[in-house]
Amino acid sequence: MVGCAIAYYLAKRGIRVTVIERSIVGSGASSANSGAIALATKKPGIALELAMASQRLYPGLTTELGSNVDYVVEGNLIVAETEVEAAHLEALVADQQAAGVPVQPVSAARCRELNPLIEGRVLGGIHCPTDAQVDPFKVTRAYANAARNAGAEILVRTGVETIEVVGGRVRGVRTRRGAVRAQWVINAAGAHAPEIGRMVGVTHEVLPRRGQIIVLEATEGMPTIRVSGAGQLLAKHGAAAAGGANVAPSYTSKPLNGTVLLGSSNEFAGYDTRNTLPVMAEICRRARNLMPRLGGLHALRCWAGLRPYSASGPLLGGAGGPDGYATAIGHGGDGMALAPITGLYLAEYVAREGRNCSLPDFLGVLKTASPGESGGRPT
Amino acid sequence: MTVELDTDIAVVGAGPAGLAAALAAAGAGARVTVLDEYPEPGGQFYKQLSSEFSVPERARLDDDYTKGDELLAAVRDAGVTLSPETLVWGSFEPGTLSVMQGHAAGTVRARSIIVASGAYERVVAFPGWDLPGVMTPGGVQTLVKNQQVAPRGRIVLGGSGPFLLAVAKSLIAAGAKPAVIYEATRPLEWLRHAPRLWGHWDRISEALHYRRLIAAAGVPVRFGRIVVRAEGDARLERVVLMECDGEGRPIPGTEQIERVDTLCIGYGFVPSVQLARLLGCTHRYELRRGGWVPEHNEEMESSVPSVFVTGEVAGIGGAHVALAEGRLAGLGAARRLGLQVADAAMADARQERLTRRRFGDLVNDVFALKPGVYDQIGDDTLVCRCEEVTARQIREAATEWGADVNFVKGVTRCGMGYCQGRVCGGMVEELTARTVGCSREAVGAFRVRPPLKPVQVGSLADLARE
Repeated sequence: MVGCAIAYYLAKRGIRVTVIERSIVGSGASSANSGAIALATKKPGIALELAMASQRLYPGLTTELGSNVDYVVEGNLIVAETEVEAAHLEALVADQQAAGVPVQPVSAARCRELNPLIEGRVLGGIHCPTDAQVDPFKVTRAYANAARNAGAEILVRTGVETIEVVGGRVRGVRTRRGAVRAQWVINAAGAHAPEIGRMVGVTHEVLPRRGQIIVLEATEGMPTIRVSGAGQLLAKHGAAAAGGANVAPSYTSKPLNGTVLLGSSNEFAGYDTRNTLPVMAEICRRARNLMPRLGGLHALRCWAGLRPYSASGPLLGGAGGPDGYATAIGHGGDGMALAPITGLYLAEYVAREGRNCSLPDFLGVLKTASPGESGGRPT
Repeated sequence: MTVELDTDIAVVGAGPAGLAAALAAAGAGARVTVLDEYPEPGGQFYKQLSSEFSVPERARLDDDYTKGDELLAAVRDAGVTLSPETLVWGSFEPGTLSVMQGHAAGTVRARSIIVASGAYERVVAFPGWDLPGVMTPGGVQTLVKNQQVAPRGRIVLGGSGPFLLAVAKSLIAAGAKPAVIYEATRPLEWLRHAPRLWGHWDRISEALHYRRLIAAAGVPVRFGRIVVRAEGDARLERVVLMECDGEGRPIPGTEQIERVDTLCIGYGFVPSVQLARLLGCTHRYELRRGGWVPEHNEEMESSVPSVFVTGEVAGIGGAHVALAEGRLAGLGAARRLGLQVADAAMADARQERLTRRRFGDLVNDVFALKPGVYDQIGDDTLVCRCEEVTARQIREAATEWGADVNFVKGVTRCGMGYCQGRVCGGMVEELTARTVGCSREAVGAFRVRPPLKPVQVGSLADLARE
């Protein structure tokens, strides 16, 4: 997804770009997430700034890319089940409001009103009515197709073997199917980013963090508002959890196809993308505690994906190593939300040869640019 | 409520293969538990065919059971534990199976697992196949035999394969005589296989018995014709048939309209490999035996040590194959546990399996799926009924990025509904492969993830440690 978005914005500027994909388009984390485009889950700072900039791009994306990405604004409710969680939310909502996020603290009664499935104990929550969702697979595919239409080349089932460096500058990559010459090599390999980094002698502090999701049978009349437990944020905003799985209640309704997603979990389990019984059971238990009526629905399937976890947030742009090497990695669970802004920024970064375009400056300029100029050059 | 169980050998599926495997393994001294989803053991075969199956006498081999009740009695006598209404829905560690009994979830631990999960019907869509009144042979058989309900009005049978004759016989017995049977293949096409019939006398007499019975009832069988379209206003009213060539391509100018209230149409069976795939067994595509089949050695052990596959799941071949192969897998699994199994018994079981497989393959070849029937899937025909995905959507997605069925699934949502892709999976693979002109191996198969069948959130929640 991130790779296709970068390719699209580069191609749109007339820059020749080739995406090298080991498997198929959207085969990694891009097709194993719930498609959240949320602000309420972000801690103020660069992650929130990026998310706000990205969220401004999303409503126009279907038109921009010429293919429906199923963008739906359904709102987001984060509930506190414990005093610790309530305290965390209280501090978070104040910071978010100061940063301009339209988020409100809400009472327990209001939580139940917003999503009547909530019958378990909650102490209160925060509500962000503008938070949205997309079909992650459709967004990825839309970017891939639009990139191709704009002249990008996407090589699927092609793994990168080595990165060629001459005189301190990248010269291209060697793949199983031959060499691709390039002046820039952008690492957008998600959880596999460290593997690519090693090819140019750079260590990237990115860890695969597994998220398991359970899909329920299509059911009519499910409340559409997304609900998650604040416990998930505690894990996300805190330091990297050492081992074990973090499972908080998490409910995402997909109104366009009637299904409900439960999860995901957050676990460090290497590159294992299998589902595990204890985590599936825990996801269901937490969901049933908060929303007892879900207990009677059927689980149809599940999946697991690897989020590229980075303790310091997304690593965008220059990352050490030879000239011409850049990264778009470390998005954690926000790859879907942040892909458009990531693509836009990396295209700018490459166009400026990596000079005079720090991320904060870029975001600052974007903010003052008129909305609707989503894909254009911001200066 | 949770379920916990330990056993030497867990057999999944209580059809002919599973029961024969259980009997053989128990006979060699293993503790065996047979897990089956349904209330009564016997599988689809004994459920649907037991009273029909009229091999004149018990065949020559002592353990060649053709009537379920005798096999079942022997299984019970051998001390096998039968666990009905037990759905195997997952496997998360080697040697374990996650099960569901009613709403109680649990785990079965076994030193060996024998997968005898059988087969399900192959559906090939055509315009109008989703109209009420269009049914599969298995659906009709269940209706007639288990619920004593005859389909309404004028009944026409179509498709291909010997199971059509069995369904015709059930319908005749229930007083709902079919008007006509349309078989896609032609006797002329069968002739080249004739020499391979030598020796399979019991099976020939069985086939002749069916044929005689259907002829005596006055039901005509027309060969070399396929249903190209079903039509009706809100409900099936008529079907359009065409003569087809050896490849199943309709011959222009041969349209024929048949008034019909119930169309029972099927093109054979597909191995039910979801569990074997979840267990990690290597599969290969073998059209002759129904599609994707798990690889195995000559004692039926799959690529995963201590996981055996047997019967229809190891390749479509019919009940006699299942019985012979079940015995072989049971002996093989017992031997794998270190139990004594005489070399002679093993050799005999291997030989019997080969003989039965030869006939199974012959039947498969005679009624081989004609590729042209897939050409009847028009662009506007629904392929995935659960998610309402048309063939056009699948064909378009197939050409976008590298022709991969999981990409097609992601783009179109085909296979994401309640049937979990069992009905449409084969069609999506075939359409994807044909659209881009590559092999079924190249386009792959839908990824298999637990649960293998839908299970309640509450039951899964009960498995969590508080």
